[in-house]
Amino acid sequence: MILQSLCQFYRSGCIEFAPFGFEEKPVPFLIVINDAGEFVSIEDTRQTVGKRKISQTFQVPQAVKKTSGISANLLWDVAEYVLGLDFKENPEKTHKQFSAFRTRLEPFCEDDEVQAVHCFLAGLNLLCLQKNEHWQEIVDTNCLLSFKLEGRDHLVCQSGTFLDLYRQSLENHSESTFLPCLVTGDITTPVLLHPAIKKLPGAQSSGANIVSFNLPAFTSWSKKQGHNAPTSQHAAFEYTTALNYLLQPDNEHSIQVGNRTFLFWSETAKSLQSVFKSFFVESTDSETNAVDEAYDIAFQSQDCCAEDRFNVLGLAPNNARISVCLWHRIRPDELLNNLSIWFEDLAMKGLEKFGRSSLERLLRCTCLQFKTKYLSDKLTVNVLESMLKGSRLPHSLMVAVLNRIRADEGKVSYTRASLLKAFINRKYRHEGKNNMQLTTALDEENNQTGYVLGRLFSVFERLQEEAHRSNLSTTISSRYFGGASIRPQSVFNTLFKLHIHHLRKLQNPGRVVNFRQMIGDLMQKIGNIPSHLSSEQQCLFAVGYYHQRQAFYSSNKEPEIDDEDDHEFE
Amino acid sequence: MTFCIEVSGEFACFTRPEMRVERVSYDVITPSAARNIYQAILWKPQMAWHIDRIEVLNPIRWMSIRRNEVGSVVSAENVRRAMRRGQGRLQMFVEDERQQRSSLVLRDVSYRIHAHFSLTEKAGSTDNAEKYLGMFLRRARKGQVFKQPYLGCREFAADIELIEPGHELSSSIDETRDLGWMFYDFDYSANPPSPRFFNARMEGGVINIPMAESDEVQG
Repeated sequence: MILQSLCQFYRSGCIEFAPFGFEEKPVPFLIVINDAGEFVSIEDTRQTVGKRKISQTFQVPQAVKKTSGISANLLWDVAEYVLGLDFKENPEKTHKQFSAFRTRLEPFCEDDEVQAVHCFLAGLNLLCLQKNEHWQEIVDTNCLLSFKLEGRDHLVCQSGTFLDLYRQSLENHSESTFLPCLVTGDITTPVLLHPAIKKLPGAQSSGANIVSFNLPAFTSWSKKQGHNAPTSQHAAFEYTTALNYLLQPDNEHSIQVGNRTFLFWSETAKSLQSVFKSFFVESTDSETNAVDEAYDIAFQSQDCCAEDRFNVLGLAPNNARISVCLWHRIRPDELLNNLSIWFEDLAMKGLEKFGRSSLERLLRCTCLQFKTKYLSDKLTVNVLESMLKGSRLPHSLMVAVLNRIRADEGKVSYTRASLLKAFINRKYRHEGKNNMQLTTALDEENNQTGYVLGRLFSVFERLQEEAHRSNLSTTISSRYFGGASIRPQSVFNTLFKLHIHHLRKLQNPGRVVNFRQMIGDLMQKIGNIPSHLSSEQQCLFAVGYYHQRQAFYSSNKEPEIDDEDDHEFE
Repeated sequence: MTFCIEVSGEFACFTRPEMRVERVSYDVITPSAARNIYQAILWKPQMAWHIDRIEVLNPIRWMSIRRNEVGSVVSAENVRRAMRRGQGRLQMFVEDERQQRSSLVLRDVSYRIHAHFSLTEKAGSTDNAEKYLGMFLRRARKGQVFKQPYLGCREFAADIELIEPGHELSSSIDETRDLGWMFYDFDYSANPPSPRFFNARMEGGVINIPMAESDEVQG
């Protein structure tokens, strides 16, 4: 269904794609000639945007698949082919390339404009071109070139007669194999090689393929190349054109995490599609929270139709091949529902201050030094999937968060606490334990051992802070958090001894009573301190700790300490 | 007479032909994979299995994995030469041909498959449907198989259970969706065998499979 959905997207008409047999190419320079095929000038199509020069994009005949052999494009190509310039000090090869470019034109010479180009190339005199101001740039960059006739406003490859001839040539099939197309079901001549998919980060720069059979083990019944997966010319063109469009960098359709690229598209749910990216990618603009804005836009819009599907496709590069790592098709309203559950599960005290978190920000809190380069791709895919489907979060996420908290000496940040809460709530929902769901702020009714122990730990830490007004280099949290959350019995014995010491140091006798009461209340809830906490209880421990800590800050009317370090958003 | 079996397994990969290298599975079991499971229990040249209906019992879940596979095949020419000479090298060392490839496979699948068989022209005067019917039921009840039935790839073994008439049936998933053009089976009468496709649609978790001769099957 992946190829079908892409073809459907191509045909839906919501984007103006290049028609069959054509593609959009940025061409920086045009060679202008007159009707007789004499050189006139070189036209620069580039426009300066900021510091960069952007070439104008033209609709040109679709590129051929470049291999180590020689194959020329029709009426446009790099300078090597168009003018026979020798860049690799291999005059023989360059000559072949140049003649290949001319040979490609021959079937279309009925067209006057093509005829002019043919004349120009036959009597090519580089001396005239060398005097042009743009010549040096062409030689330096081996850039794309195409042709234009003096006084016309279209390229030679856009002239009417040529287009008719070219379209006719596309429909001519010399092969006699007929097979059903697995995308459309029509009986057709299957293509042998599918057009390349370019710009997938991590894949070969010359392009890669989803459908390719480049080794004998991939083929069956001694079928050649594309005959193993019969696809019509049109279908192959449509899905690759749609994919290449979606993969354009910096558009609203793609997100990249590690070496995985996620594409998403929808035919009608336009406003959801336009803000969908914001849920994943961290915004650089610190003034407003992009996720909150995106959330509001997505939920206000009513532009989705029941028949439409929101598609999410995850791709991973493997040199010349592309593998699919995620494929999800969902009704837009279902997706919105899942997203609202997702943000509800993540909601945590501090939401007003920090706002909703993007997936990237959430996942970064599981990484060493908050760097995305340490992020596991597998984890990303699994969490993304859970977010889209509203299913349970992967166990590996919880392990990653708990490990990070321990390694960072008990730093339970807002995002980490949110993730753990979401993990627990989704797990409980899945198991039908809805009454045990964690709340956003301190829940004094929650009597689960892990949660109460976490609160108790936070109380001890608070007591230490109040006893020692000066800044401590090692706190209870930095020293004991890991131990207390895994083997509470042994660590809490030490903490009990310490807390008597801290109570003695408190100046305010009222606070002493307060603390004694708090600790007594919490101890009553637990009874015996267990020797060991399960991973689920460890999650509750961290959330209980976070809740209690936040409660202290708000009740004492002290400034709420931003426990989200700045380096988290480097 | 139609037969009904339930097959289930932890993993399954009914590889799409277009994504056969970096594998992506079809959403559900294909008719040819289902036919192979029936054939694992009983098959003779005198009979041909036809899949009538597939019911999807578990929600469709996906998982992405990476596995080691090989990129080459043993050369047929080398085999022929070795046969002529009576000696030669026929082995392939997986260590040298190893490739890491990713697969998007199905998790925790369960299907109820309805099928019937017909006799082919190879059936002689002593063969009749009654005989094979009895053989199939005896074998299926005892759990006998000629080869381990599998879910798309050999490494994903299937558990099978014969469903007797009157047996209480669990319900299929409540999901309706278009599955697109799906591989039906090879037409083995052509040389080389040519693939056939059909437009699969799941209605309330049930996929009705057209007969091989019908117009719905292309190829």
